[in-house]
Amino acid sequence: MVDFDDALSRFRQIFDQSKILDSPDLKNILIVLDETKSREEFIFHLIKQFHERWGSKATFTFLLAVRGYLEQAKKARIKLETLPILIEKVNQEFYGEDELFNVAFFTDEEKSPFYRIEEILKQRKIDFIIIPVPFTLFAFEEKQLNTSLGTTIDSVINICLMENFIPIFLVRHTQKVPFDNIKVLVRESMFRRDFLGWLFALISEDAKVTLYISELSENEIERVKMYMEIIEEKLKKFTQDFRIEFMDGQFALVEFCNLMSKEADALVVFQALKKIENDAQRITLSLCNQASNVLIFPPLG
Amino acid sequence: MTAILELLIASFFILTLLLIIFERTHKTLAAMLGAGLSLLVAITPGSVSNGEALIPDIEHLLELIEIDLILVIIGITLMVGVARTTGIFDYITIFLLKKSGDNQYKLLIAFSLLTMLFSAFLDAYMAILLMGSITIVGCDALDINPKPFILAEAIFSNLGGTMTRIASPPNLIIGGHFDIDFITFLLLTAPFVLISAVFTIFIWGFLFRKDLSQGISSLSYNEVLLIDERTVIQDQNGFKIAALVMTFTIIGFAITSFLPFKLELGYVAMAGGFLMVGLVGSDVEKSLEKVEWSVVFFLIGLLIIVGIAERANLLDLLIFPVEALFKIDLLFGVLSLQWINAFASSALDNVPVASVMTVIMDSLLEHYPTLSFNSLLVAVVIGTNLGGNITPIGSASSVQALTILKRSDNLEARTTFIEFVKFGILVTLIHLIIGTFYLSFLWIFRI
Repeated sequence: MVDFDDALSRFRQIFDQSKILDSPDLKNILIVLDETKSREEFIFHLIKQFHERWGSKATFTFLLAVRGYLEQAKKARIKLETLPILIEKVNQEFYGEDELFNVAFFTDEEKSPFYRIEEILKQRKIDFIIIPVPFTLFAFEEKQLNTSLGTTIDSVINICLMENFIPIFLVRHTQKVPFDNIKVLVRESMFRRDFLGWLFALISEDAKVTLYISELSENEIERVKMYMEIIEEKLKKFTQDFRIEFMDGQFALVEFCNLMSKEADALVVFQALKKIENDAQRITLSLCNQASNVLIFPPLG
Repeated sequence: MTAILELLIASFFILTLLLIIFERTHKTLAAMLGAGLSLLVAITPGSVSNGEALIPDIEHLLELIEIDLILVIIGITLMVGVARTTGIFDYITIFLLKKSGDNQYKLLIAFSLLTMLFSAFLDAYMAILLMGSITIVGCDALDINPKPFILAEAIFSNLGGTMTRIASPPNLIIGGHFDIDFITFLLLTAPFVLISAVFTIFIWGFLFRKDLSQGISSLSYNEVLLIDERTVIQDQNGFKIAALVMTFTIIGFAITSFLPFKLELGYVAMAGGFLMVGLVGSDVEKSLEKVEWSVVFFLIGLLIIVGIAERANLLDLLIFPVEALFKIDLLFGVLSLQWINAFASSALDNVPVASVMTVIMDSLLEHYPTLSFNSLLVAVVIGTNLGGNITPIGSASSVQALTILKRSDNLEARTTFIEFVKFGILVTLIHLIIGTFYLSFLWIFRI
C-alpha cells in the first residue's frame, strides 16, 4: 500500500492546491508606521477589521520606522509621537484583546526603515505587510521621484513582494473600512486560492467587486469566470447584496492604474507576476499615477 | 529411489500451493522455496526411472521458465513505472474526472473504462492503484460515496486483464505457452469483455442506484474544474516522450501479429521499457525499482514447480477428472472448464491455476483432435481472470480495492468481506453466463 499512499497524497496535494480557502493563513502581520496620524487611524481600523473577519490569532508586529528621521523632523518642526504614547494607543485600541494581539514593537533609531524591515523578516516569518505610501512625511530622504514610490516602498515591492512572496497593503489615505468598492485586475488565471478569504475580510455587505481582466486567453478567462462564480456563490451565504462585475475588454497594468487614478475611493487589488521580467518596476511606475489604497498579492511561487 | 524422489516433488508442490492459498507466507517466498526444494530433487540422478535427472542441465531448466513472459513483465512494469514519474497517468485521470465529474453515472462509466484500458494495455496493479487514489480524492472533492466506483474498478481491472495477452500473468502464461499472437488473443477475448463491460455498467447502475442517482453540487464540481491538470506534469518533454513510447510499444505488440518472421512480445516490451528508462528515467536505480520483481520471481518459482511436477507426471491426477467432463461432450467440457477455472481462481491465486491449466490443455488437445482450441483458450482465460472477482482475495485488484475502501475516511464507503462477496458473486455469475453464451457461439460457428 506504500505506492497507493504515495499516489493518494500526490492527488490530495494537487486538489488542495486548487481548493478555494475561506481564509488566508496569516500568522505574522507587519505594520509599518510612519506617524502620519490619519493613515495610522485607518491602519488600526484595517487590522481590527482583519481580526474580526478572520478571527485569527495573528501576531501584529509594529515597526516605528521613521525614528531615524528624528533630526529632520525636529528641523521641520513636526512633532512625532513618542513610543510610550503609541503603546498606550495600541493598548486602548485593542483593549481586552491582548492575547489575540501579540503586539511587538520595533523602533528604528539609526538605520534606514527598510533595513529594519529586512531585520524583522530575518527574525520572523512575515505573511503580510501594511505600509503607508508615500512612506514618511520626508519625501526628500525617501528620494521620491516620478518613477519611484520612494526608496523604502520600492524596496518593499522588490524584495518583500517579489522575492519573499509577501502580500503588501499600500496605504495612501484614510478610507472607510470595510470597503464597498473593490477593483481587481486579474493578471493570471491561477488566481490566489485564498482570494475568497481576503474578500471576506475586506468587503462591506453591499460591496461591489469589479474585475478587470488583463491579457488572458479565452480559456483562462473562462477559468477566472468559473472561479469568481464559486466565490460569489460562497459569499452569498455572507451577504446577498454583494456583487461581482466583469469589465469588458482587456487591460494592461499601466492602463488599469491610469483608470484607477480617478477612483481614489476604491481599493485596488492585483497580483504581481513572476513571468514578467521587470514586473516590480512596472508596478512601481503604474502606481506612481494613482492615489488609491492598494493590495498587491505576490506572484505564485 | 525414483518413487521417493517423486513423492518429495509432489509434497513440495502441494506444500507450495497450500502456502500460497492460506497466505502463511509471502507468495513469492513460497514459490521460491518450493522451486528451490523441487530443483534440488530434480537435479538428483535417478529422479526419473531411467536413472537420469529430471532436470539434468540449465537448458532443461530454462525450458520450464517462459523467458518471454518474464521479459514482458519486466519491460512493461519498467515502462509504466518510469512513465508514471512524468505525471502522464495523473494528467489523464484528472482530465477525465473534470470531463465526467458532473454526473455520477458518467463518472462511473469513465473511471471503469479507463481502469479496464489501463489493465488491458499497461499494468493492472498500476491501474487499480492509480484509479483507486484519484477516486478517493475525487469523490471527496465532489462529496460523493467512492464505494460504487472503487468496487467497479476492481471488477473492470479484472475484465481488462482478460482482454489482452499482456494484461495479466495468467494470460501471459497461457498465451506464451501456446504462442498466441497479440491480435488473435485480442480478437478472441475483446467481444466478450466489451459485452460484459456493458452489462456490468447497467448492473452497477442498478445495484448502486441510491448512491449514483444523487446529484453533484455545481459548487463542488466547479471547484474540481479549477484544478489545472497541467500542474501534474513534472517534465514536459518527458511527458511527451512517455506518451510516444507507450503508444509505439502497444502498436509494436499489435504489429508482431503481422510480421513474416517471429518477434516475441517480450522483445517489444523490453525495447519499450529500456527506451523509457533511457529517454525519461533520470535515476537508473529508481527506475529499476519500478519493476515488479516480486511478481517476476513468483512466476519463475511457480513455473519451475509446475514444470517439474509435470515432468514427473504428477499432474495427471488433475487431468483425469477434467478429461472425464470432455468425454461426456466436448462443448460441455469447454463450458465446464470455464466454471471450474473461475471457482478455482476465486479461492486460489489464479497464476498457479493458469500454470496447471496449460498442462491440462496440452493433454486435452492431444486426446481430442476435434476440440476447438479457440473455445478452450477463451474458456480458460475467462475463468482464470474473472474468478478473482468472486472474493476479495481472488485477485490483486480485489485485494487492493477492499483495502482502499477499508481505509477510507468516508464511513459509507467501508465494505466488509461478505458485502464484497455478495456483489462479486452476482457479477461473476453474470460474466460466466455471458461467457457460456459466448463460448457456445465460438463453438457453433467454429471460430
